[in-house]
Amino acid sequence: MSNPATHVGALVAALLLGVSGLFGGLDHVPLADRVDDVEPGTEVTAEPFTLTIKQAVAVDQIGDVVSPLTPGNHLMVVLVDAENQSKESLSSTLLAPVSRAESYRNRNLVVLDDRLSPTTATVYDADSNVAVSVLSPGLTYRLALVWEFGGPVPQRLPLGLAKLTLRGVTISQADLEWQDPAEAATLTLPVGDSTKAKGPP
Amino acid sequence: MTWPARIGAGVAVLAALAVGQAVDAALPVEHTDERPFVRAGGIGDRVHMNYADVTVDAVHTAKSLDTPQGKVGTPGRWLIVDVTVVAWGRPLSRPAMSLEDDSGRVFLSDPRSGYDWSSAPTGVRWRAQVPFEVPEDALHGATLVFSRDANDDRRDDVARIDLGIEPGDVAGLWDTQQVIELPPAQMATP
Repeated sequence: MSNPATHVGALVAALLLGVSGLFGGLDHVPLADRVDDVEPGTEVTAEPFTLTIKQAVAVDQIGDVVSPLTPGNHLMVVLVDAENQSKESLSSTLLAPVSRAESYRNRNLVVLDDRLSPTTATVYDADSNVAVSVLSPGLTYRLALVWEFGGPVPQRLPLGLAKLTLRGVTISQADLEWQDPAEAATLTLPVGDSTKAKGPP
Repeated sequence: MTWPARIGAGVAVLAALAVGQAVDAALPVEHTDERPFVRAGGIGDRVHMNYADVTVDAVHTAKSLDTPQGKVGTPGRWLIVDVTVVAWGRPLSRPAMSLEDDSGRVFLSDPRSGYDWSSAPTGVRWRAQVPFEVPEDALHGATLVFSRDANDDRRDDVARIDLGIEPGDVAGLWDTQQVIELPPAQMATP
């Protein structure tokens, strides 16, 4: 730091940080203080959807349709009602949950327990067990969000809900996309255990 | 680097930025009209475009679709649009079809319906049934929008075909329990 300007800049930055700290700028703010913690079954608006997250169940497979790729793993199934509130059909991948580490991605759901982090989640129509790719505006879908996890079945599944904003992409401002995830709410689901490994109650 | 050289480099960078800004402002890029050429029509009209002719033959609804994956329902109704397309000049491999309702909402087709366009060969009548999931209030005034490419319709022909659904038709279309199996897109038989 031989440059005098660098010295002055560092001093000013330290001073600003100190003043900010005096007014609480450096305090840790827990997630629960920033957003609402909602009950399962509560309707929550997380743009571009209205979501009602109802239930979580751990299973070994879903009919003959979905099985874990790794033997011994289980499937986490989260049942959600989702209404597309936007003006156009949307990709269901917006509702495929991601881990906390990937919460920067343009998704509406984040799994807050790192042990249960989804690598690839799939969105199914809960009535037909067929994967859904496109969600029409103005319709409320009954969906099953499914991903594989290893280890013991947890008792609870903590989820974060994120709201997205419709804005132009960097390259072309005329091309609008839902992006910029921002915390909207948290919710913790009890996990029903329907795996074969489930012990006696 | 000496101080005069640093200042000179800074001035050079600022000058380059100023020249770039001046060139950008002088060129009429923002005034380029990139709107598509809209070809309008109704049910039964053969809408001519520079890459294909498109005709909507009929529309009907279903409560669910019989697909290779099983019966696929919808929280709304499947609005199925029967189209006949004749591609000109070259095969039409990936046209974009969407449905627009009278409030401007845009509906796309979900692959779980089993719909598959394949590729329309040049010069023959290619028939497809295209399913869209819609709520009841999207039926009246629904319009099929057909373009060559989903990602780029700048200065290209686009067909907008009014499906002719009047307010009096909505209840009849909505009150269906039909289960329909969509045939693959194929050449029309004479």
